[in-house]
Amino acid sequence: MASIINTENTANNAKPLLPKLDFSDGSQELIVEFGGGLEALIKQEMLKNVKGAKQTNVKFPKQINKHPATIRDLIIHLRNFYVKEKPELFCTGDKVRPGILVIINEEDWEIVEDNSDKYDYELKNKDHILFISTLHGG
Amino acid sequence: MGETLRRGRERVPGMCIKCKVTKPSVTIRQSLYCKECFIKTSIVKFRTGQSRLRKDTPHLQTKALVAFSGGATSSAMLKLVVDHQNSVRKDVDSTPAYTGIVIGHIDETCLFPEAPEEEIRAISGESGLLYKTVGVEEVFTLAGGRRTALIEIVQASIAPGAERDQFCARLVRPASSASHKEYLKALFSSLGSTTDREAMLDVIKRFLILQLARETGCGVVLMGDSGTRIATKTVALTSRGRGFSLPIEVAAKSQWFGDVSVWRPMRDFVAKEIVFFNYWTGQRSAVVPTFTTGEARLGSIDRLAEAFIAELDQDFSSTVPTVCRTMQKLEPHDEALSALPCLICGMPADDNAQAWRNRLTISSNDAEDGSIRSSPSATLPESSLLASDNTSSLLEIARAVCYACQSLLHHASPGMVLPEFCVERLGAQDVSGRSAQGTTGAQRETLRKQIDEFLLKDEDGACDNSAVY
Amino acid sequence: MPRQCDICQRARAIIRRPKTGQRICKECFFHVFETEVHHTIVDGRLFSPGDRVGIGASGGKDSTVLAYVMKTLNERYSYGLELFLLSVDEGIAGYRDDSLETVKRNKEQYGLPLMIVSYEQLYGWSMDSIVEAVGRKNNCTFCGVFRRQALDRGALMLDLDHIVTGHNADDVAETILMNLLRGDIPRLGRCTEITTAGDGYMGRSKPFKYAYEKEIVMYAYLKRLDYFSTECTYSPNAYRGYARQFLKDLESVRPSAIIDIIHSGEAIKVSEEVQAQKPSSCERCGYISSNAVCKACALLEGLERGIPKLGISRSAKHFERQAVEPVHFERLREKAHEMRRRRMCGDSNPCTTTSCDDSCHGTTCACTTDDDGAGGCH
Repeated sequence: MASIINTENTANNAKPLLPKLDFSDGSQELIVEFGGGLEALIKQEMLKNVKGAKQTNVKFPKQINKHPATIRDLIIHLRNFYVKEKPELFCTGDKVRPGILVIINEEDWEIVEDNSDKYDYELKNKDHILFISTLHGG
Repeated sequence: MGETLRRGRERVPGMCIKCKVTKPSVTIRQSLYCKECFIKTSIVKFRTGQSRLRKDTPHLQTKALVAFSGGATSSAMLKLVVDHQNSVRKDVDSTPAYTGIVIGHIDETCLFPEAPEEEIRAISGESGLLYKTVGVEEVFTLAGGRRTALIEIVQASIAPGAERDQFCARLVRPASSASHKEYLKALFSSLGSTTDREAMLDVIKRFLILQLARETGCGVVLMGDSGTRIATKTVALTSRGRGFSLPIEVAAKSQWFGDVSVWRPMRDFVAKEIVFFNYWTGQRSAVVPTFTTGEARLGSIDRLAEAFIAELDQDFSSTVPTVCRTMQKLEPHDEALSALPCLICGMPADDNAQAWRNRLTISSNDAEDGSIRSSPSATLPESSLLASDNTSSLLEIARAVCYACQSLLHHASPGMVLPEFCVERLGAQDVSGRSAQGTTGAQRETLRKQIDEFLLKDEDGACDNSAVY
Repeated sequence: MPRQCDICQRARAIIRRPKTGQRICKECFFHVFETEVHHTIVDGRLFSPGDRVGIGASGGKDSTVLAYVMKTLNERYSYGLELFLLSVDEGIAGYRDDSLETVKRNKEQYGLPLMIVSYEQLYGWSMDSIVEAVGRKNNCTFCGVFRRQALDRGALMLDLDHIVTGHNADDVAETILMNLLRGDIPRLGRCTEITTAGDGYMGRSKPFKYAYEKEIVMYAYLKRLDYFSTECTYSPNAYRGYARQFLKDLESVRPSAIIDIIHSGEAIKVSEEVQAQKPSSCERCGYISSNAVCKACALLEGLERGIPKLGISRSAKHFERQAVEPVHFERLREKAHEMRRRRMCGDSNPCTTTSCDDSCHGTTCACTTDDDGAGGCH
């Protein structure tokens, strides 16, 4: 499984954390939005206000370690470079914190074909990804 | 769509469970819905829930107060209530849901300067309804402008010699020099923990919302507790020792407050449904700060309970509905329904709480323990456990404070200033409401007499609370 | 300067009491701990003078401290109880056999008669062989159900009036939470009761209901009690794991929370219409059961037929064939009555470990003290 997980979190298939994204296999534009209080966790300079929503454009590689980039990769990237402090409020290891919903292109990310892992969702150019907290006070 | 909805219960693989012809966009506990059907189902579910709440009182004619925090659930509730109200009005055969709707909001800026009040006002403005707001500090404004005497419960020792059993709270009329905001801030800074601050804020907000309902002539308050919130509250309130009042505090419908009935129409919705409903219907909501905003799971009991439910629900998706169903089967003890309301929280006070605690958590080496040592296997009568010199009337005060609020008082700093809603609860002004639960004005008057020796007159100057700051 | 005890104001405080946060000395800790248990016993009216009381003894900290405290209080307050150690041997190599050695030492240390009943002897299956058959997922269900029955069987063999188990406040709080979360309404009502009915006239109670696990450990440590401290090799189910973690976190946020949950649990009332129906008895073994066939017999049936899953599912009552026949409870009760009659007539006490060896053929066994059926591994 391709991943850019920090070694501390995945003892089993440890891949070193990539300090910089490698765009040699092409890049894609993602629109990442934060809601329900999560926006407060993200570095202010990364966010822009679009019609009341806090979002950011992420230039992301098409492939990570020769595999199509997945939302798992994106989550780790966001944790490493976008979250201000207390990354545990955003995710535990490479999984989003319980109580945070993910909406991809206006649809529930838990709708996945044939029981595959939702974290293996392969990102596409122009995907709109919304992370929204259901927890009180964000 | 009506046709497709009636097509029966069998599922079409990979299609919406309702219309069976559209690709689904959301999954709610293993059921797949398309966007359209999800929104319709939510609306139908809300209306069904409303009629269930009205079942006992089908002809109830009253205004409803929508308790509106601005958060996701109360925003969804606002939209659903307005939608229901409008649809019923158009439908000649139906009874109108309510004779009117008022939005009631508590402004928490005093505690949370970053509270998004403008945004909240804007969201409520979209409904076109009357918007009533009151600052959380207004709890220090005596309702009805009645001037009550000062009450002080200072170092009120419940079990003699027991350090942790001393109540350090005061119930006072604010001094003229201090503003209500200052009193409120002092109150919250003298509480012993974040958990206690959250508990106190809940109490104050509930008090103020009920006041708003009375002022605006609403017989029903609609609380925006989602099923997820009900499950969280169940765990948190149980952990705080509030089992006695739990059935009232999470009930779908509660008459505990007598003149105002409290309903929770959002309990059939889990947090995920609310997020998708708001998202797909374009309903805006605000992020309302709390004492634990930005804190991880150990921030407070409430925060921990919330994290616990979220984790559990992720692995066992029926957790929230199961807890909600369980809660519906619980009912308040008969003793709870006839108990005096707690001086602090207004919920029933279990009057043996202090004795119970003292028996099972011994914290002093007083005469009582000594006598137990020398008198084997004898059950001491409760009176001998607690009665000693001048503490008997103080015991009565302990009896008027519920188990959980006793803990809150134990952990507060000396000289904590409580709002006068506590005093109000001793008064007989709302006997009409209470008598329904068997608590008579006479009982309350007796209680009041018992604490009379601790009532200080205004001119005593005891309200000089400068030490508090 | 050393800090003085918050309670006696004289001796040097050596511990911070988990339940109250007070800093207290050793003697005061012993005093408050024992007195609270005494209050629990007295307020709950657990015993009458002359009662024969079996202490469910696993060799673990809870039951070792329980045996010690029961003996101490019985003497201090002249309860007039006749105390026994009663152990269940589930047959878990490397865990139970070792802890049983501890119980045997306790027998000598406290001078109390000991009886051991084993799963192997009672049901024909040890836990090790059950796990071999069903895997590790549901083994706690078997263990919990079998243990409860085994204790009752042992108690009947000794003609006891009462069994006490080492369930502590943490266990009770955890069970309250679990039942609340699982919506198990009948159990929610029952789990806070200090005494539950055992078989027939026998009572079963938990004197440590309000004692914190941490304080039990502290007590055992400070009294230098001899106990066995290894976790069961078969881990409890995931759900209980969540509840346990939550409780630990909760205790760190607010130490009083455990006792507060119990206070809540006792105050929660279950609606009349959802009360559990009156139990009748199992048509096979005569054990109290709300179904025609009790859970233990259903589980055994499943084991024998090689379909252990069936015993766990709700359709257990449809089973017809029984492969293993543990001694019928009616027979056990008759024997108990007979023993009682003889004792009343002044016969020499027929019911010590010696006579047990008659009825259980010298088999050895042990027990942990969790009887709530939801997994018994401390």
